[in-house]
Parts: sequence; structure tokens; C-alpha cells
Amino acid sequence: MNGVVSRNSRYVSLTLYAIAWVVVVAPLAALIFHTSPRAISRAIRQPNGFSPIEVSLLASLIALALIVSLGTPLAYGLARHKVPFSGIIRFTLQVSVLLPPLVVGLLLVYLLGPYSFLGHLISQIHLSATNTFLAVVIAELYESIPYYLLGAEAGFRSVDPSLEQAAGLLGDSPRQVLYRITIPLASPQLASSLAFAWARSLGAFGAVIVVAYNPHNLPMQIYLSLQDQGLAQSFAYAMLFILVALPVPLIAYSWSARRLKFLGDFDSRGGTQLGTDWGFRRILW
Amino acid sequence: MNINLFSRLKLFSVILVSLLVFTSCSQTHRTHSLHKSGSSTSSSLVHSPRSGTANVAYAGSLLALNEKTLGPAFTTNTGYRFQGQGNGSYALANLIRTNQIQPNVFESIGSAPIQELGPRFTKSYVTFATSPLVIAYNPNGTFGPELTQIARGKLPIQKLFETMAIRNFHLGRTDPLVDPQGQAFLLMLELAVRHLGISQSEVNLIIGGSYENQSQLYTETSLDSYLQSGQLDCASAFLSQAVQLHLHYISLPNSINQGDQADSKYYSQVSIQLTNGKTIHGSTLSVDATTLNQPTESLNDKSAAASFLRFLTSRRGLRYFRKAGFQTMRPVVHRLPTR
Repeated sequence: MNGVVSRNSRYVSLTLYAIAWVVVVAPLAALIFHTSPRAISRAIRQPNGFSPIEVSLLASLIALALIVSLGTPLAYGLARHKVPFSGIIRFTLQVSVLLPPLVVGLLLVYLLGPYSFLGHLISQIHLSATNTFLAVVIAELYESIPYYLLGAEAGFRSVDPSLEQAAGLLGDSPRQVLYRITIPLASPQLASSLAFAWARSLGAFGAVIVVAYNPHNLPMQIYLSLQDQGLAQSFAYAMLFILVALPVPLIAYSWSARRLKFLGDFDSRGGTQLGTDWGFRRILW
Repeated sequence: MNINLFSRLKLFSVILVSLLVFTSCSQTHRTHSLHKSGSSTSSSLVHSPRSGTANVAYAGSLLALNEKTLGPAFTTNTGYRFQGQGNGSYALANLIRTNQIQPNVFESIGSAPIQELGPRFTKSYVTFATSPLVIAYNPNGTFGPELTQIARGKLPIQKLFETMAIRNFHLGRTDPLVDPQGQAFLLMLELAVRHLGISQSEVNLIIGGSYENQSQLYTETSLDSYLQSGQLDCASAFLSQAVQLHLHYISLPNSINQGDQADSKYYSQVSIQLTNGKTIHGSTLSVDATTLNQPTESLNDKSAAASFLRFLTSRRGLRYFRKAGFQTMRPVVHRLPTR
């Protein structure tokens, strides 16, 4: 009796999983179904056809490097209350996430337009933050940095402070504690946040369409292809977008999953409670 | 284990039921409020509400006019519902052709996008207004005083072209590859060479050496934002846009503004060749509209579409267009070739 109920429950769960999966992947299936390899090859072979991929990849990589180098210390400081006015900072970050990307773009016009204070400063070194590659990077940075910051902060917060204290007692310097305990333990969540920021950065459109109509990144090219050449061409770029965007989240998620499994195994063996030097060494990368 | 699974299923059912209840409640509320709004407007209606929707795709520059004025007035006058969506005229034509959207009325700037849809979607269209090109400018910028003098007629219009050709001058325009206004701006420069004695080298300086000079191109929306935030010295605009957005603008002579039907033969003397291989010939910047054949639409929707086109070209409809800065004319019907 119990076995029958259990089997039925499993079928119900599986059906629900299947429905959810179909709902989520339906647009992707439509894209695959409606995109021809010939359209993709035509898109790449047209003059400057490869340029949106280059622009998107390079701009997103630069934006991601800036996000990690600026965001990680700030996220750590927020998680460990080492930043003054951390409450206000966190609140403003959450508000930034709420701002629609289009509004972010419109606000960037005021901040970095040719006649703004910063825009003028940038022009002194013969650069411009309007309709340039720099503008693409800035727009992508602003669209994605809050997502990394909030995720990374949650990651650092999830690390048990007693482990860091124990490592300190065993003679590790604060820097060693950070690199040997805190970052490795927070790394699964850091990786997920990074993957999310990458996806947001590569898919940035709302702010980009305002401040960086040129050079076209991939979402802009999808939009313009739709206007100029029609659906087939825009789907071709959408497919290219997926091919370009996918590797980073895939690597991050699979690495993150392996890492979580390892930490789970470690924890179940009581490793984190040992408080021994051996235990901490095992947390290392 | 089973208990755990059961409790999860129970939780899921509770969430599902709550969602269903919430959805049905909001649906009821929506229907209720729709009825309420229907009855509240019906008191001021000339006609009682009818079933049938005019689903209108309109050029981006007609957004405010359609959503704020024409749509509500049409519903009040005819009882039909109005549903609108705006985008670039060519983009809309593409979306309609590939069945991504199924509007039953299409309002376009310039007839070319409508012509792309014939004869499958339409066999004719009507021209009833023109939208002259102007130069919107920033009165508080470095070149503001000079541009204001030109706008007031205290300096000759040729001075505008001289000013735009200055190295530090920030000009914004839309992409000629996808936007009729971007094309109209370039055609205006070619017309200025012919009729105002502007030199070709000055034109090259103005556009920064290329029709598709990246640093000058913006989308229509961001162009207005840059100008209004004082980050550009001037930008191309339709007169209607400048009026609706309260922008400062310089009117251009009829011989180059492409807004006078009487001068259409002069406009057609110039053309531009774009990098996508398309050659664009000058023509009047007309406002054209047509009803579209959508096989799946109901008879009521067809009637609503025809009614909307009649309303658009009625005296009242044309008055709304004039108020919004368009120059109206007696509606002229054009037949499309049947291929």
C-alpha cells in the first residue's frame, strides 16, 4: 500500500517536473526549430557579420573582470560588516537591481554624455562614453554588477565565521584565512553569481540601446537584424548568442555543483567540526 | 520519506490552489473593472461599446498621438476598442510580413513600408498628412545662442549647415539603415546641396565622412533623451516630435524639409546609396495608413479596422494630426500593383 502511494507520488512529481521543464524550454525549442544553419552562416559571412560577437565577448569579459575586481572586496566587506554604512550600501544596491536597464541607460546619459562632467574628463584623453566600445563596457557593467554583488555577499555570509576564527587561532593571517577558508567555502556561490553576471552582461540591451547604439553588441544586432532583415536573420544571431553565452554558465555551474558536493561530503564526515589543521587544508582549492 | 513527499505535495497543492484562486480573483476583478470602465465611458459615448478591435501598428513618431489622442477618441466615437503598438515603420513591416504581429491597421511614415506588404496584406493605402523634417537643438549648449538666432530667422539657414560642420559640434541622427528619419536627414543634406548652395565637402563634415558614422547614430528614443539632457547640440526630428516633446527647433525651407506635397518632384531628384545596397530616393515624408488583411481576424475586427481608417481621415482625425504638428491634406488613395 505504502509502496503504491510512493510510486504514484513519484509519477505526480515527475509529471510536474516535466511540465515545468517544457514551459521553461519552449522558447528555446522554438528558436532551434526556426533557425536554419544557412541563416547562421549567412549572418556571419555578411560584412561585419562577426563583429557583434567580438564586441559582445570582449566587452563582457572586460566588464566581468571589472565586476569581480571591484565587486568581490565590496561584497566581502558588506558580508563581514567591514564597510561603514553597509546598510545604506546594501539598500542602494537593491534599488539598483530594481531599476529597469533602460532607466540605467537614460541615467548614464546624464553621467557620461559628451557635455557631462565625466564625459568631458574622458574626452580629455580622447575617449568617449557615447557610441563607443567603452560605452558598451560601461553599460554592460552597470546592468550586471548589482547581481554579482548581492550574490557574492550572500556567498560570503554563508561561510561560518567560527571556521575563520579557528583558522586564525591556528596561526593563519587574515589574508591566509580569506584565501584558504572564506573564498574556497564561498566559491560555489561566487561562481553562480559570476555566471549570472556574465549572462546579464552579455545580454545587456536596455542600457546599451541608449548609450551604445554603436558598435553593435549581440542583443543590439538581434534587434537591428529584426528591423532591417527580418526574423530569420535575427534568429540566426540569437542562436549565435546562445552558443557564445553558454560555456561560462555551464562551466561555472558544473564546477559549483562539484564543489558543493565536495563540501557536503566533507561536512558530513564532520570535517568542519574537527577544527584541525587537516580539516582546513582539505577545504583548499 | 513518504511523509516528507506527501507534505511536499500538500504544500505544492496549497500553492497551486492559492495561485488559481488569486488568478481567478484578479480575472474577476479585471472583468469587473472592465465592465465598470465600460459603463463609465458609455455615459459619455456617442456609440455604445461594440465588439471589435482596431489593432493598430504605428510608426514610433506617431506613438503619443495614437495612444493619447486618436485611440481614446476613436473608442469614444465608434464604440470599438483600440489597441496600439509602435516601432520603426520598416521594423513593423518586417514583423507583419513574417506574421510575428497581426495588426489590422498600419500607419507608416512614408509609403515604402506599406508597399512592402502588398499585395498579400493590402491592395491600397491612403496618404493624408506629411511630417516635415526639422532640426531640434539644445538652446543651452555651446552653440545654443547661434542656433537660437537661426531659429528666429536672424541668421540665414545656411549658417545652420556651417555650424553643424564645426569639429566640436555634437550632432545626433537616427540610423538610415533602419529608420526613415535617418534617411530623410541625409536626403535633406543632398537637397540642401542642390537648393541652398551647401557644398558637398560641408555635407561630408556634417556627417563625419560617412552616412553611417557610428558616433552620430542613436535610436529615436535615445536621440531625444540625449538632446533633452543637454548632451547633444542638435538632432534630426520630425516637426510633430518637436511639437509633442516641446523641443526647440529650427524649421527648414519647404525645398528641403520633404514635408510639402507640392515639392515632391524636387525631392525625388535626390537619392542616397546605403551600405546595405539599398538606394533611397527622395520623396515627401507622408503619413500613410492602410487596413491589413489578417486571415484569422473576425468580421467585427475587420469593421473596427475600416472604421479606424475612416476616423483617421475624417475631419476630426485630421484636426488631431494638425494639432500634433503634422501638415494635413485631402486624403489620397493609392492602389498597389497586383503582382
